[in-house]
Amino acid sequence: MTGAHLTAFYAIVGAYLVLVCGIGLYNYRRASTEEGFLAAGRSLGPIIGGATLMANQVSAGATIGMVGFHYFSGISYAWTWPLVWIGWVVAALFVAPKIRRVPGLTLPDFFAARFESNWARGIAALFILVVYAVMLSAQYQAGGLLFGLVGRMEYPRAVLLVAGITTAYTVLGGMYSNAHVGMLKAILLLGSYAIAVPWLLAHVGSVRDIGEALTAIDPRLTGNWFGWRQLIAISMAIGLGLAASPYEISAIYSMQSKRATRMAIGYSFLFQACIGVGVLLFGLSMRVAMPQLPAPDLATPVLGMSILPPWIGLLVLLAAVVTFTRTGGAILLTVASAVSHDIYVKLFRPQASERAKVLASRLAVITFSAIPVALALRQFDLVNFIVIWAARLMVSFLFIPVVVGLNWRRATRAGAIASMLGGMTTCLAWSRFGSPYFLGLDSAEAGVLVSAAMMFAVSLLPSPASDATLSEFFGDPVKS
Amino acid sequence: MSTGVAHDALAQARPGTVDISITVQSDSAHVRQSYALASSSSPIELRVLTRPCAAIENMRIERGGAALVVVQSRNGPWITFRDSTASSGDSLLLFVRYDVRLAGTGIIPLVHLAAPLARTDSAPLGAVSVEVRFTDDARRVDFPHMTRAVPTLSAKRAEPTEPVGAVGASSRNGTRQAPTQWFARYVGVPSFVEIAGDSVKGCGERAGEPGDNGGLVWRFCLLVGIMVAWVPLYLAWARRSGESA
Repeated sequence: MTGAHLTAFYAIVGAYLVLVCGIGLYNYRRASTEEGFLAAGRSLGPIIGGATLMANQVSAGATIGMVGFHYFSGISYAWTWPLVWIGWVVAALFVAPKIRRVPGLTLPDFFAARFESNWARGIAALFILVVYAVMLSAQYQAGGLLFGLVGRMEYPRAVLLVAGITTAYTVLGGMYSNAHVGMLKAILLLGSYAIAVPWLLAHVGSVRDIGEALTAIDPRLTGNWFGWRQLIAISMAIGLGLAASPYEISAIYSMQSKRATRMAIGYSFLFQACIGVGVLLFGLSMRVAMPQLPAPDLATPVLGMSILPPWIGLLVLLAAVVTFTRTGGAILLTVASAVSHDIYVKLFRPQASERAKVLASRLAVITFSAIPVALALRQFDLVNFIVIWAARLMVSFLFIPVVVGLNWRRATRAGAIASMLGGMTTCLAWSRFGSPYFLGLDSAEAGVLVSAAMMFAVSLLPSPASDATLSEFFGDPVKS
Repeated sequence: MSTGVAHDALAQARPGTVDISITVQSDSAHVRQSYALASSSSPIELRVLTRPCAAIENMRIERGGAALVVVQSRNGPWITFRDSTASSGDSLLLFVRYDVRLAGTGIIPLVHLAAPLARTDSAPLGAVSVEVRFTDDARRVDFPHMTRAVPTLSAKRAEPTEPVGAVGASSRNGTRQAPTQWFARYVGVPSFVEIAGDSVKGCGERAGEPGDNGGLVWRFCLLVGIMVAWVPLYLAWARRSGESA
C-alpha cells in the first residue's frame, strides 16, 4: 500500500468514524431514555432488524477469522453457516415469540422475571461480563491486526484505536446507533464482496481451478479438514448459543413485533448467505494467490492491502473495520446493560432516574471497553478460535435456562441457577481436561447435557414458580 | 477441536527476505529471485503454480554461487523443487532464475518457498519485494496490486521521503532507466503476476486434462444451493406463521 493509498485508508476510516458519530449524535436525543438506549424504543422493522441480527453475528470472527479459517483449512468450515441457522430456527420457534411476552430490556431481566430471582439476574449479568470480555477481545485483536498491517501502526496502538472507535459511537447512540450502523455494515459488506469476489475469481481462476490447486496442496482443503463431528459441535455451540445470546435477545427486544422478529431472522439469513459465500471465496482464493502467509488471520488485511485494486481493497478493508467495530458495539451495549441496568439499577438503585440510568449505561460502556484491550494485547489465539471458545461457554451457560425456562412451566429458580453453573463448570472442565472428545462429547455438548440434567432434576425438587409468573409467560395459570 | 492445526502452520515460518525482479519483454519474461534466509535444519523446498500458456524454461537455482541440484516433482498444477542437503552457517543465500514464455496469457508464475516467511519488525510491510520492469511503456501489472514507480533521477534521494512501496527499492544503482517499473512489498510471495492487456489475446490451450478438484465444485454448488433454497423457504414460513399468529 503506497502513501496515497494509506492516506485514503485513513481518510475513509475517518469518514466512517464521522458518519457513525453523526448517527450517534442524531440518535442521542432518541436514546435519552433507558428503553431508547438499550432497546431502540422497540422500533426496529424486519429489514433493519435482519441487518441488526446479522451484524451482531457476523463479527470479526467471520470477516477476518473465518477468511483465515478457509485459508488454512479449506471449504469444510463453510458448512457451519447452514448448520448455525438451525440455532436461529430454534430462536424463531422457541425463544423470540415467547420472550417478548414480558416487558424487559435484557436477558437478565428475563431470568429475574421468569425465575423470580435477583440471584439469577446477578449470576447471568456477571457471566455476560466475563464471556463478553473475551468475545470483545477477539474484535479488538482482529482490528489490531488489520490496522497494524494496513495502517502501519504498532499493534497495541492499533488495538487502542479500534477500542476508541467502538466505544465512541456506542456511548453516543446506544441501540439506535447499533441498528443504523448494522444496516450500514450490511450494505458495505454486500457491496464490497459483490465487487471483490468476481474480480478475484477473474484473476485467480474458477472454482474448479481453485479446487485443482488446493487439492494438490492438501486434499483436505477441498474435502473435510474439519470432520462432521467437529462441524456439528462447533455449529451447535455457535447456533444454539445465538438462540440464547444476550445481544441477540436485546435485538429481539428492540423489534416492533413477533412477526417482525421472525421476518428479521429470515432477512438475516439472506445477508449471511451472501457474506458466507464471499468469505469462503476470499479464503480459498487467497490460499492460491499467496499460499504462504505468515498467519491465516492476515488473509483479509493482505487481500485488501496487497491483492485487490486500491479502491476495491479499501472497501473490503472498511467493511472489515465496520464489522469489528459494530459487533464490538453490540457487545459493549450488552455489557453496559448488564452493569447499569441489571446490577446498578435493579440490584442497588431501583429508584434511579432515567437520566441516571442512561449515564450509568454510558459510563459502563467506557469502563468496560478497557478490559478486553488487555486481553487483546496478549493475542491468546486465532480470532475465530477465541470466538468459538466464547460461544461454547455461552451455550453451556445460557441455552437450557432460556429455552427450557420459556417452554417448560415446571422450570424453577433453583433449577435455572443449578443449570447455569453446572453447564459452565462442565464446559470449563471439559475444555481443560477432556479436549477434544472426552466420552465422545465436545465441551459444549457436555456443558449443555449437564445443564439440561441439572435444570430438569433440580426443578422437580422445589415448588414451581408463582401462578402470576406462569400466567405471564404461558398465558394461563399452572395446572398441577 | 485442537488449535494445533493453525499453530502448526505458524510454526513453519522461516525468518528471511526475498527480492524478486521481473523483466517483461514482448512475449517472455525473465524472473530473478534472491532469497536471504536464516539457516534451518529443514531442507529447502520451492514451489510454483503452473498456468496454461505460461511455460517455465531455463530454471536455475544457485546456492553460494554453485548450481543446486534439486529433485523436481509435480502434483496437480504445482511443481516442487526439493534440495535434500541441509544448510550450514548462520544464513543462506539462494538465487533462482528462470524464463517464462507468455504465449498470450500475461501470467508469470512466481517460484516461492514452501514455508511462510516470518514477519519481522525490520520489515513490517513484509519480507517480500517484487519489482516488474517493462521494456515498453504501454503495459501494466494487473494482479496482484502493484504501484507504478515514479520516474525520478535519483532513487537514493527518493527513498527516505517516499513511503515504502511507492518506489522501486531494488533500483539501487541510483538511476532509473526502465520506461515503466512497478513495485510492491508483500508478506508472502504471490503465486503469480498478471500483466494487463495480454490476457485478452486469450490462450487456446489448457494444461491438459481437467485435474482433480477434490470435489470442491460440487461441494460449493451444494452449499450455495442449500443457502439459496433455505432463505425463501424460511421467509415463506415466517410470513405465514406471522399472519396466523
